[in-house]
Amino acid sequence: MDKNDTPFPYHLFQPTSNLPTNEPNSHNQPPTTTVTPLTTPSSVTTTTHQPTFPPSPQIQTSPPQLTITPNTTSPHQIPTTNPPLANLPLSPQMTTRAQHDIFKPRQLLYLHTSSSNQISHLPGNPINALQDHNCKMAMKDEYDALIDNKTWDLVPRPSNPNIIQSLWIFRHKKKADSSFEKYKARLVGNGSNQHTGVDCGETFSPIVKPATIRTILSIALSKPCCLHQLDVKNSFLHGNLNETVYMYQPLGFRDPQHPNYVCLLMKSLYGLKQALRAWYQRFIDFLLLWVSIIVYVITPYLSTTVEMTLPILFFMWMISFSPHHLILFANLSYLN
Amino acid sequence: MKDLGPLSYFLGISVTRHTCGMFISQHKYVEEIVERDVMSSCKPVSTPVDTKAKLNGTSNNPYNDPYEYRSLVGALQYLTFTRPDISYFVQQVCLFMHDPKTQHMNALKRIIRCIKGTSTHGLHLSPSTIDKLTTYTDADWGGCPDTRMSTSGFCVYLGDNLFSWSAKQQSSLSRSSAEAEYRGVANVVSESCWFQNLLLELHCPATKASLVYCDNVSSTYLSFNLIQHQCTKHIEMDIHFVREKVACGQVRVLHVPSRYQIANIFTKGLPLQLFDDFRDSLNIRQSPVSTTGVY
Repeated sequence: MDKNDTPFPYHLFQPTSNLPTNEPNSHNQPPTTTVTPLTTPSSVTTTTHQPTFPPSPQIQTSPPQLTITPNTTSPHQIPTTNPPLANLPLSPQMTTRAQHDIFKPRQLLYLHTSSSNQISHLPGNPINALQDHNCKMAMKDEYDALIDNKTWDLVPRPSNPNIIQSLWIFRHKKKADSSFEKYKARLVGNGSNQHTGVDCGETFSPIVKPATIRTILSIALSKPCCLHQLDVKNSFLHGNLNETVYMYQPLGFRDPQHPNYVCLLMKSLYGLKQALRAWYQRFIDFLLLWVSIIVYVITPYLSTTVEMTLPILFFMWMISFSPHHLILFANLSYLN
Repeated sequence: MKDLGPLSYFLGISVTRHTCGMFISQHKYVEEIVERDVMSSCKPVSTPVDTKAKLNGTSNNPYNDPYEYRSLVGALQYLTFTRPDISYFVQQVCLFMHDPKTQHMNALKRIIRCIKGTSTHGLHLSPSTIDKLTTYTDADWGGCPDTRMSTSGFCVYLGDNLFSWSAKQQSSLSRSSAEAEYRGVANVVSESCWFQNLLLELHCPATKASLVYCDNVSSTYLSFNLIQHQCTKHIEMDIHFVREKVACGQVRVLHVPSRYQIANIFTKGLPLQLFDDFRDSLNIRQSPVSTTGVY
């Protein structure tokens, strides 16, 4: 109990005599209103007669003449002893800055935590995208890449053709740590407008079984194989089209000299029905050429015809299960 | 074409080489699934399903968002690429894609809770001999409460590495457990035949006969007993298919006690201890990197 008695705040009772009551001369402050810290803001507003809450941007009412004493008094004494300002008469010399037309510009703090340049939202349609600078630049990049790739020729519109629509797809490309990298726009053809036999034929493309991937991985572990991963950028755009496909000019990039022309596609686009197969065919043709060159080079070093087929088979085991990802497994030991 | 260096990450699957083999896992994909779901703050559980009766479709509480259900089930199906231990449970929730009920969604949520707790698990591959195929097959007879179809599951090892598995409802009704098991044997024999052809094309053929482990004695006998029995004449095709392979020495069907039947994990919900044992047998382990500091 002694412990409890000793820290009893006797000293807190001392300032009671100094409490700001109706005798203003007991302090050194000018004879204006003195506010104890625990006076509520509502009591302040009653004395100042100014609309301080909510603060409007023009009128900044700071009470320059209200002197706030530091926290010397105990909070327990105030509510019971006196509400110090409630009975005060309104002093006529009470002024605010607003009455003297003194306005300070309200400083708005920008407390948003993201990076300084705002990332614009993904546009819902290409018309909105053309108004946004970032998206428009992304669209221009994509358009230029397609033109460089000689994806289409502009031709006069043929009579009675099947012309497919083109669509713009927008997305934010992100880095591996899911932070923003850049804006990405992709022009795709609307494959649902295509008709079998008119502008698309075979669409089948082989897909690998997951078990085959795991098999290759375990064989590569058991034999001295090196595994490498290759990546083909925009792989579908490399596929050559055998069919005649017409597409409207992309929105926002209509040729000003030939606005009525249509695009005759030379290379495949994302979204076409035969895009998968076109890419696969291109890739296989490339591989066969490559393998035949290698076989021609290394044939003198191989003894029998049986062994000669080995590298071919190993190079043929290209797994192309997704257009974006390719894995090439080559067994170096067979080439020695 | 760009060379990205040694194989490290493809199709959402990360590949890590370490001293004793290779580790493939989809932990990033798991995190995406758990985040996408409304239950990102759920508590993990240790097993994906409890051991009670299987799901049925006779409830009257349709789930209000079938689209979400299907989307999640599809995501989990892709997750079975490196997680064979959940393939049975995913198969169970797949059965009700056409008409999901609230209880099915609850089962799905439980799977998600389980994979949240084991997100760092993945398939472990190690260098081993690649001349021998070992397969395990199991079936639960009449397991589906609605149709009484049997579910059969198998897993195939090349050397020590698991590379193929399946948990699937059989397409026809079986009148006896031996029949259901025998269908499972026929399925796994056809899988191993395909795989032997694949190995032949890759110029590393399997030189030894593939072993089929089955925990049903009758099925074991049926595979090499050449007498046509009265009770098996309706599964004649399966009978003769397996017998032919056994006769030419490609396949041997052997018996294994249920306690060591790894394929149990593809046909039923198991108690925790057994589930952990079998999962370990399937080479589903924690990432070797994450366990480095444990010792």
